[in-house]
Amino acid sequence: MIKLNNISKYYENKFIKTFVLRNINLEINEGEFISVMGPSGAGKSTLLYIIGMLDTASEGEYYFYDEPVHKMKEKKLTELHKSHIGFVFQQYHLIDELTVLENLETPLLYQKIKTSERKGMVADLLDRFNMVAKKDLFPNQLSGGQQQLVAIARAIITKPKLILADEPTGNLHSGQGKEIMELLKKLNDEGTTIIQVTHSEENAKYGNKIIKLNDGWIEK
Amino acid sequence: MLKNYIKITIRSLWKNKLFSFINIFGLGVGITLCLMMLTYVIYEKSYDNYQKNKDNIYRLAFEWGKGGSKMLFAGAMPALGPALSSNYPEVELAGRVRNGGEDEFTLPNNQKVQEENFYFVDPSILKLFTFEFITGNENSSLSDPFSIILCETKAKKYFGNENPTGKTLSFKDHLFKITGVYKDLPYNTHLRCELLASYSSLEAMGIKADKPWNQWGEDLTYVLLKKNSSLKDFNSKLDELVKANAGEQFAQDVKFVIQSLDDIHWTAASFGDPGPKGNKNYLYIFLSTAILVLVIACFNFMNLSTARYFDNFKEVGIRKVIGATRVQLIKQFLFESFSVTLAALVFGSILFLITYNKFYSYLGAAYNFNRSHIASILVTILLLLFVIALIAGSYPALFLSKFNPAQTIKNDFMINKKFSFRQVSTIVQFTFSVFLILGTLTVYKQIDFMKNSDIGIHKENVVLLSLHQNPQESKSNYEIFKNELQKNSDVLGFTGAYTLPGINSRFSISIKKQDGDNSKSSKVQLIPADYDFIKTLELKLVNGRDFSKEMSTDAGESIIINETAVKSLNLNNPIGSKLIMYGSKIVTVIGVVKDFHVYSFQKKIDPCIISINPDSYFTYAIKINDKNIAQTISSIKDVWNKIFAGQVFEYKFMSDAYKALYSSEEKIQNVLSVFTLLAVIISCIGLMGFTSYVAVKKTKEIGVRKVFGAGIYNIIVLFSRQFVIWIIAACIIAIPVAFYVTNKWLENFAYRISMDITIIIISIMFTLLVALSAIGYRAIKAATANPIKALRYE
Repeated sequence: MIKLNNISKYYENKFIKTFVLRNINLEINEGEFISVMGPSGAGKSTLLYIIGMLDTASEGEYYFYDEPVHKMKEKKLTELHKSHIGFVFQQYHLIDELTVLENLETPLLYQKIKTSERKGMVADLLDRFNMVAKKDLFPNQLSGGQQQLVAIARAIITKPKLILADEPTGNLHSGQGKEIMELLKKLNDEGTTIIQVTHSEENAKYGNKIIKLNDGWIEK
Repeated sequence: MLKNYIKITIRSLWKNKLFSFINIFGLGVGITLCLMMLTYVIYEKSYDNYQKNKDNIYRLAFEWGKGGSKMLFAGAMPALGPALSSNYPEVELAGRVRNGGEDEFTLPNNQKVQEENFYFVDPSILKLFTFEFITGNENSSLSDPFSIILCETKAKKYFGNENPTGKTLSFKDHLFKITGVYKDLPYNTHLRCELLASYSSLEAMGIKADKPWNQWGEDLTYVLLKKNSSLKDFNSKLDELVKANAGEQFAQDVKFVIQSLDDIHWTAASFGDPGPKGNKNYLYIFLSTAILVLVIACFNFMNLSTARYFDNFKEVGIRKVIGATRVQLIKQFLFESFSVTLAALVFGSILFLITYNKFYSYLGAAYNFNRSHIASILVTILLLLFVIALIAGSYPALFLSKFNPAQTIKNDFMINKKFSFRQVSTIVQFTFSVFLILGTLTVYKQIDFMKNSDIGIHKENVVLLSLHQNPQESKSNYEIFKNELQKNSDVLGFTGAYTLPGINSRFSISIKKQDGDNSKSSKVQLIPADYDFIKTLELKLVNGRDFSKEMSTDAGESIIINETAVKSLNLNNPIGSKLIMYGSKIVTVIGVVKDFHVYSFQKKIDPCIISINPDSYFTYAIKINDKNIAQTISSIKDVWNKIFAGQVFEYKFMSDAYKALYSSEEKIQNVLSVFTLLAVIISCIGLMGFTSYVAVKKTKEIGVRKVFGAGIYNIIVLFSRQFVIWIIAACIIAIPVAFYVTNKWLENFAYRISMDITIIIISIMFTLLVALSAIGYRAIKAATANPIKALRYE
């Protein structure tokens, strides 16, 4: 599904190159649940963003379902990104001005899905996440765990093949964190590929493979 | 999607109430001013447009002049109109209009009303001009003596909903029968007729000129010429006509000026001209100031929108992450800016509708919307909507949608130094504000200078009258009038003169020294005047003596000159100098007076000589007691009507006439002050909004600084330093430009203030003070906040 060949990411500042990622080679198959671990500044999030097509690598090749992402134009990238990938962040990143329902609806709007179909999809998801009663609340009226639930719901509403989660439990207390991890596990069991960045050994265990990053390198 | 945009827009406008208010208020006010000025331009440019025969109507103005003197009267002689109606193939219609004077009307219920816009007109005027009759018609309504027609408003005012036709109004003890009612004329016509009586009534009332070919100025004479008639040929026919009827000698001094209806509004005022005059310069000044205010408001909008969108930076990133394309984001931003602009347009239009009547009545006008205007107003509004929304919306839209979402989500994007748009726009705004403040102050100072400088003449409680007849013909009446007036103890002085301050006419002649170089002559202003001229107007005699009746040589052979004349004729010992006037007439200087202003400060004081000449007393100045003014004037009027029967009694105070010289400048000053004030307010609320944005952004920095020991003072300096630098930069740009522009304006005045440093200092101080107080509140609030609060949530 995902194949990274010699991916590097660096920032050039005058004459100094600051490397974030160095020669990353990685292959991820459909249905895997990968945990990326490593100390702060190791390049975990950057790797996630590159895989998620929100950032581009400085060097190297990236194949997504055998298509060369590193050669794609922005339009194609956006297209691929929005149809296949869902994102979950540590800070939830819901849109403050929109209600729960509207937050869930927005990705569908961008995909130009018809109203009737859209309403059905949103209603299903609200039901599945037990959030029907909260659908008209704004993000700041919810607890952190609830916000993250909404964020995950938003990430999966377009039925992506791949979910990228950047420390999804980082801002949550352990009970809520566990709930979120269970949910991700369940999604993985249903066939969604998941890549998560985490600091917690415990959370990493939910995955079936751990990648350790240090100073931009993958530790063997 | 649209629903989503609307939702987001409304919610974010509500969430950022201050920004929304600033934007909508600022833009709205700018739009109001622009609409005001736009309609004003339309109003001024469409004078008399309602006239169906507009292109072929001309007024025959009358220029009377002898030697170097020339005076333009709007009205011609009473005999001209009827003479033109027949025998001239190019004349389709001709008619006379005479001002009805200031007498009162008595309604059938004995109520008395005073009306200004009342005229006696020939029946042909009803066809020549355009009237829409409600009752009555243009063929017969004014054919009989003592018939009168009213405009709708007056008919309603006098008679309510009753049909006024057949009722009577009494004017000067004569009963006038109402024979018609017509729709109100628009305000922007040079001749606002509200009541029209038949011209034939004048004769029936016993008002008749003795020599209808030799009296002028009272009857505005209009002709409707056939298309493509030659004005030049017509003009020479007029000359022939006058020669044949008024005599060769009279005709020598007369020239007709054929004014097209279009020109009447824009040409300089002449004697007896009824309509208000337009001034294109003022139109431009007003219009450009209104645009400046709008530009300032637009900058606020752009500035605050970008500032606010930085808050939304995260949101932009999230939207990209969940699948928004760049185009979709740009659409969203533009939608928001269109919504704000639309709200501002609605607000601005409402404000315009509420205030425009006040504005117009201040300028002595009234605006009526009509269909063709509304079309151009709507087009302008839509144009404004698009331009403002695009300019203000496209910058943040293109700028923010470009960013890489990973960057925008991760780092809370900070205002960095590279981003200088805000700096530029703040500087531009304040440049405009300083420019306007400087301009307004200069106008204010100049007007103050003109109004309060000593003009060298005592102008209080002096009543001016003017004659509509060749003064030679009323020489004997003049003496009778003078003697009659002197019996009144409230009349303190009386003089006749050729011209007086506030009456715009000149009489220039050449003069040279008898003993000097024969070929060298200078041009001087001649003021033929009576013996009491200097005494009545309290001119200061600096040398020699006043005219005296005891000296037989004073009439005609002696002159008094002003100081400028002393200089320009280069007289070392002016008293007793012999000068040659009219090529051969020798006169002796008997006195020198201090310079005095006969005209406005726009004109330089000319070298001027005063001589006794009873043939030229066109204007009379009567100095009266400051008590019983109304009574004194009414007794003067009685005497006038007895002696100058058939001539309208029109008086004005010299002080008013003098003030009137500057009335248009004063109007500019007031309009400009309001505009400037609004510009400053809009700039400042923009600054306030921006400061509060910075305050939020800098909360953490301020917190850290306070933890490490910064005092309130340091924080306030930190806050204001940047703004003060920007404002000073604005001053540096604005001052030379303002200096140049105001100097250009001041060049219109021969006597003017010099631009001095105090005006500049006041402008800078004022701007800084206002700007700092706009910043101050937020700065102090931020500086005094508890630093722990700012840092706790990080």
